[in-house]
Amino acid sequence: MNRSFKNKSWIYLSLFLAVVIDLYFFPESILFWKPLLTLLVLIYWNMALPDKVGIFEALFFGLIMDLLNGSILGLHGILFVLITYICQRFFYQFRVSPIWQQSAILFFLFFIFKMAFSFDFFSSSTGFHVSDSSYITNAFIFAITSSLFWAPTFFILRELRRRKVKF
Amino acid sequence: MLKREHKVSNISSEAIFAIPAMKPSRVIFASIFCLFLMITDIRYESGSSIRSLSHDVLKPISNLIQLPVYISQTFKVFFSSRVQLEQRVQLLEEENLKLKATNQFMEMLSIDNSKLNYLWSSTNVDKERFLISKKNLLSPNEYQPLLVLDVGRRQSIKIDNAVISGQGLVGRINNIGFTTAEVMLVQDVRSSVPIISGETSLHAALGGKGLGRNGELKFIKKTANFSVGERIYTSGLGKTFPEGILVGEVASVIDPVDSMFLKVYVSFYSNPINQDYFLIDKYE
Repeated sequence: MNRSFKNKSWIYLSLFLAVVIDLYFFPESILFWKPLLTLLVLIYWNMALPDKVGIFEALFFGLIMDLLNGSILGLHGILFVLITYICQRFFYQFRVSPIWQQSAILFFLFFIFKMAFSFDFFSSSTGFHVSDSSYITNAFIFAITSSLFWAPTFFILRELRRRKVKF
Repeated sequence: MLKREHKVSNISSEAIFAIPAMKPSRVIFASIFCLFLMITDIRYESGSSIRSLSHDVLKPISNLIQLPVYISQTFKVFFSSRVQLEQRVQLLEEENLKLKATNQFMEMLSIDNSKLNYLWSSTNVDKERFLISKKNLLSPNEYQPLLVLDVGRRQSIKIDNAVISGQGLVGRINNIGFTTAEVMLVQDVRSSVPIISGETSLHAALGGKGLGRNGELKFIKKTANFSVGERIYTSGLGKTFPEGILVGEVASVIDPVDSMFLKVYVSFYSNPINQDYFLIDKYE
């Protein structure tokens, strides 16, 4: 089998697995706080192999998340693209920083990500939902859990990359 | 090579050289494409048909994930020790005894029950019109939560069929795939349910405010006298939902000074979180 194809398959498999875990594995009691593994995995591959994983993957998996989560088609897509762009644009600074600093940066990115879903696109009620304090609390906890999951995701994927993905 | 000429990666301990980032033009193009998708989805619901099909594609995976749980439960029962089984039998016997005792008090009630049974049969409720379906997925989207149900093949359900649970109204069918159906929950911000109050018989439209939040009755005049704790049922107006399904109860009534309308909040009885089975009412 072509080596490049094999490597790409591992990357796509990890992303697909993250989608499945996001959808089915976490208990419903933590529905609003569960970390978004798909985005974490995408950010990792973006940083580790910026020339191999880029805009297409971000867009593709963003649209998949839109379809499966019932959000507006394109919302996850645009957020995934912008976050991966930010991560790639500043990856010189990001890659060399310690893991806790990376988690702190991701905390802010995930908080902004979650807040983007609070906009009332359907004009179902007056004003924005941003003022909803319980939503902000949920977004805050979501950002914390996601940033806490960064370290294990990082080490697991690094191990996978060292063993299986060799371009 | 001097170390200051490059940075060292934390990931691979390798030297990092200039790797071009994503081209901004591509990012802008992708963003415009996503914005186009968003606008078409908001205006014309373009994504709804693809959405239900995507759940059908992932259904085998969800079944595969449930397999280990099923196997572990089967093993647990199979290998449970004799002592454990004896304890369980004893527990069940005690429960049975309690039930027998309770049944003695039920004799009087059984007379009333027979009358109610007669009433039930006279109302001609067609039990075939309900379809039991299992939950496949509940999305973490707070304002537009999505419930996906496994409905099996060739089921005669239709869009807008009501979905109910033991507690009350859950929502309505929004999309139908080959083997799955999407439900718009009553908590969804896009949802609007015509309701009638139990005691005062006032009509209103109940809008969702997101999962885990109370709903709000729209445009209630200040002369309306809703009381806290009053039960809310579907009114059947608009013929989307059948009449008389329990929805919730009035949680609070606020009279804002700067508004022409009352703010009436309703707590929903049904909650799709940690609930596995639902009934689809194939009412037309």
